[in-house]
Amino acid sequence: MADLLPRSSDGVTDRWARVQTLFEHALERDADERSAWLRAECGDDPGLYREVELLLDGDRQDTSFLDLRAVGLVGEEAFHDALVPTRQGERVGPWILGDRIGTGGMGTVYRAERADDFEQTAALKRIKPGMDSEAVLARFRVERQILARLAHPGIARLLGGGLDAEGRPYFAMELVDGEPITDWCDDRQLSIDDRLALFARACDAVAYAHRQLVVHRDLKPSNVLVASGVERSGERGSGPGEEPARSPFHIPRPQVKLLDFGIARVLSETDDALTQVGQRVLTPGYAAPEQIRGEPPTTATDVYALGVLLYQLLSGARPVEPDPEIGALATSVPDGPPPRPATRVTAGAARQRGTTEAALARRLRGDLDTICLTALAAEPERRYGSAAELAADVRRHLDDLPIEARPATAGYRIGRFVRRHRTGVLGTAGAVAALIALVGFYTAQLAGERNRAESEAAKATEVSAFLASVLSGADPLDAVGDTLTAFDLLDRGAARVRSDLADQPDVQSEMLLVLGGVYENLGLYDTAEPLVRDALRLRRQLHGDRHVEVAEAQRELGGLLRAMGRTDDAAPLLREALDTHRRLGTDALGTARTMRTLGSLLRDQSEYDEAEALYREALALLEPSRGAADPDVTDIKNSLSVLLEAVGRFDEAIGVIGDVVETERAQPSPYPPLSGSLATLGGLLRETGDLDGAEDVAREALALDQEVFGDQHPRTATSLRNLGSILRDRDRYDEAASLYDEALRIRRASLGPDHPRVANLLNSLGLLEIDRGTPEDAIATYREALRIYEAQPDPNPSRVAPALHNLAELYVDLGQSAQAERLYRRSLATVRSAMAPGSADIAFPLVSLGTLLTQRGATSEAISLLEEAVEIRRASLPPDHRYTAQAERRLSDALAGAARTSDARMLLEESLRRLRQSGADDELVDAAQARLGRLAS
Amino acid sequence: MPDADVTELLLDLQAGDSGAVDAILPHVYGELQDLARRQLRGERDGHTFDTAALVHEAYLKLIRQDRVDWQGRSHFLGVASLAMRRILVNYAKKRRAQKRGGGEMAVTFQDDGVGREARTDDLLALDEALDGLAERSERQARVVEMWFFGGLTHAEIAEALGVSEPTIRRDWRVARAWLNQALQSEA
Repeated sequence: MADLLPRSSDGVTDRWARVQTLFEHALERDADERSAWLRAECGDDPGLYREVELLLDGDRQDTSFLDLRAVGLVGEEAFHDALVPTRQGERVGPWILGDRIGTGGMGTVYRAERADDFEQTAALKRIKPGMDSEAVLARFRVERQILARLAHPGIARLLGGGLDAEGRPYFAMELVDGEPITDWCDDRQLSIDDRLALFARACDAVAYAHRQLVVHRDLKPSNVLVASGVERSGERGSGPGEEPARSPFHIPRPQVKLLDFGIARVLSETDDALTQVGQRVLTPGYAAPEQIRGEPPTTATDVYALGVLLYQLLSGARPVEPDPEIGALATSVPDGPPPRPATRVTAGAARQRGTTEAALARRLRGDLDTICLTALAAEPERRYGSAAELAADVRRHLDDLPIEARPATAGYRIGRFVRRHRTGVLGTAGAVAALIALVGFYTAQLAGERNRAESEAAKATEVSAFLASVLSGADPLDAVGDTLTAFDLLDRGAARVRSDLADQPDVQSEMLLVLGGVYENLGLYDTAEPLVRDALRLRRQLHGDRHVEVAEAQRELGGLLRAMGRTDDAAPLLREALDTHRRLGTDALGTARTMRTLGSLLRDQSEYDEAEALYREALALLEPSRGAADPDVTDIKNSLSVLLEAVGRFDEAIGVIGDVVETERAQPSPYPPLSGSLATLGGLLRETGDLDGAEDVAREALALDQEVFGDQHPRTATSLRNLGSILRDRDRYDEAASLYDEALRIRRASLGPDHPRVANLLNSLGLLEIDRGTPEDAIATYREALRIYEAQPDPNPSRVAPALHNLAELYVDLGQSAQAERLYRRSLATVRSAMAPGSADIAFPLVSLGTLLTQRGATSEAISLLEEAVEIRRASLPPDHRYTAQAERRLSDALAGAARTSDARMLLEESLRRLRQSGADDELVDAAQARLGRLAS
Repeated sequence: MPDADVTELLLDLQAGDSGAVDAILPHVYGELQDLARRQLRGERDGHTFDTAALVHEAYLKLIRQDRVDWQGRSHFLGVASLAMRRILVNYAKKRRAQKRGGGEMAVTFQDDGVGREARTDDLLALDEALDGLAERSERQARVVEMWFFGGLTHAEIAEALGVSEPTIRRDWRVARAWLNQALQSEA
């Protein structure tokens, strides 16, 4: 091959020249006379005739891969791989590449090791070029939290991802040393029973992900691996603490691992719930009909792919064999149901299953045919309602119980509901349902008491931001000139759930709860309440009073009422739910969640001992089985630390949240939930005066948020604010101011200048200006904050009242007491209008206004206000709280001003006693003592 | 900077030293790979690989054009197409070794709905068939090579091979017919 133009023998080329001439002349003749002409031309050389005929045949082929160029034939990914071979040791993000493990439709997979000190091996998937890297990355940022929380022994964990130096997206995943499930079974000639058992475990993993509302969308054998080895403890059928040692009596159980969960979704350019345009990642033969048609994938899509997998595991054939010809896609939506697997068996397949062809066909006939065809139904609503139902039927078959495959499953009903409304513009029920599911899941990520300072507002903001982002780029909206907002979509969804699901109360109640949760997270409590109440009513009718589902609805309603401040209504609901759970004793997670909600309610009511006991019981219930890193476990610890802080047990609070932080730090980095725990820990350290520790923690949280969310995200603004506040405490005003400014800029840019969270930041800035000794600046800042709070369509009293109060305090400092009095009165009126009588929040303006009135000589009104404040604080705060002591001292001053000296002295003594008990600063105690001395004299 | 050695080698090739091809190929491989790498980093307009652009650019980078005439250029394009063919065929061989017993190949569907599979086995079959075609007509095999691997147009191929465009079109039609037939009988 040294020569560019290799020589050929003259005989061959001469003959070829003759063939070519005949071929070209034949082409000039009509097709019907061509053969006769050619036969005549070739005369006594039938070989020549055949050769030209073959050429004419070849010419008639319409499609030839020759018409593609090389790039078109092998695809850009392979072309790129061929031209730019990856060198081992190349760095991708924090990873160093090792061997190439495989190549697939999405890209190439490598073994990879961490480049830093952490010892970790991963399967690193580089995505093929040509997908819009930035869009993929943006989606990945949204999805990674969700994917990082998929923690199941049957799912390969997502470790990270980003863009490499060439701008190509990559994902790092837990490395699984296994084989595709089909190969694994065939190589070992596994029996049908063993195959079914393995398959059911794959379904379990899919079902888990579906419960987290993550759809795989690209299930196929190469994504369902089996590895030899012992499963982790806590899994079905294996004892705890088993070692992977192999004794003759201990055969290691094969482990099923699913790869690439949710990755197909990240790679999709746009949101499938809203548009069908964009790149779709799918595999012919495994893709469900609706996927091929470009409709939004659902959990039913995964059920279909599992059906293909089961079909293949059982029969060795695939229900639809993909056409290798290019362009065959259009016809790959099957017309009718696939043939029954029993009819597809071959002798080879039977051998691989350790049986004969006839016996295999017999084995598959009946149940297994039905299970496969049910999973493979063309209409999603006719399939199994979930992967869990599919697994259950497979196991029922293994246990010789009758299977339940039948058309009218819950999925059938939901599917029918969605399908009936797939017409119309964007307001398709399918899109709404998908949107709601997404929002519901996303908001669940934000639940908990992380970022306590702004948790409620933060949740609402991020949910609306998310809704907006889901809807942005939804060009179909513009195309029809419709101006639907996310809220309109939700409202429509709610209306449809009520009207169209009336005859399916179980589905309806589920949807009502999901919707209620979404509204609750948006802060629209009044809209949420009737939905959740209806869900509870429906479930009571369906199941009676004592049922796990009823308890769940009670918990949701109780949590909602607690958020609305209606603690007295919430308590009995939550107690009844917990009682149900305790009696049934089946649902550990539901029990623990109910304990947490009730605990938090009791904490609100200052029933700290019972609250603490409930939190600890919930932890004992969950932590041993789910591990310290489980999100529910960390949420409960978060709540416990809030309680410990409230009762002044700061060291214990720091210990509890410190554990959470340590656990989360040990997770594969970056681990987004760590940011919230760091914020809580930082707040506690700041409160206990450990400003060094607080600053370190705040910087860690900021770096994490910048990595996870980027520099322009509202979450990053919160971290900037937190760090700024610590620096403010450390009198590093310039640094604090620049952090606040940056945070303000981000929030104004991302949320708009009139957003309440902009005002929240202005409050911090105002405090800084006071500390700096520029109260005039602070007044302007506070006025702006107040303006924003009051400009909201539905002003939030718990924001407006403190803003008025802050402003009033400034006027007190500036000696403008008339102005201050007016503002305090407005603050008090605002709180009273919103809070139940006796609420702890009312005491603040009462004390402030009472104190000011004492100074202004209006002692009788001052006394009545301060008496109310003392009464509230004695009732609502833990015994001997310094706030109670403060209110008593102020009342004592007012009484002294009214010359009721003995009453004043009594109160002051009480106050002093409390101060000593609470371990207050000596300075405070001394001042109180001096005051008492003056009164006595 | 153009590479003086490559220019000399190309002149040797033109002067009839067929051994120069093997000497040039590594340079061309390297340059094509560098260019492809840069394309990947986004230093390109579209999202589609353009083999012809790669090949032309490699020429501009490797050859001192003040010393090489148009015939030298067409020689170079031929060498580059051959380089591309070898790179891809070697890759396909490695892939075949890796696959061990098959398993389905994932396909990613693009907007146009056409499946594009990494059909590297077809590439190997084509490579073999092209050798068969070359025995019948060297030029026709080169036409296919330059079209398929080099990404050149018929006009460019005509210029590179120093024949008229209608001749290239005739070559292409018969070569395509023969290869279709050869590849079909193999499968």
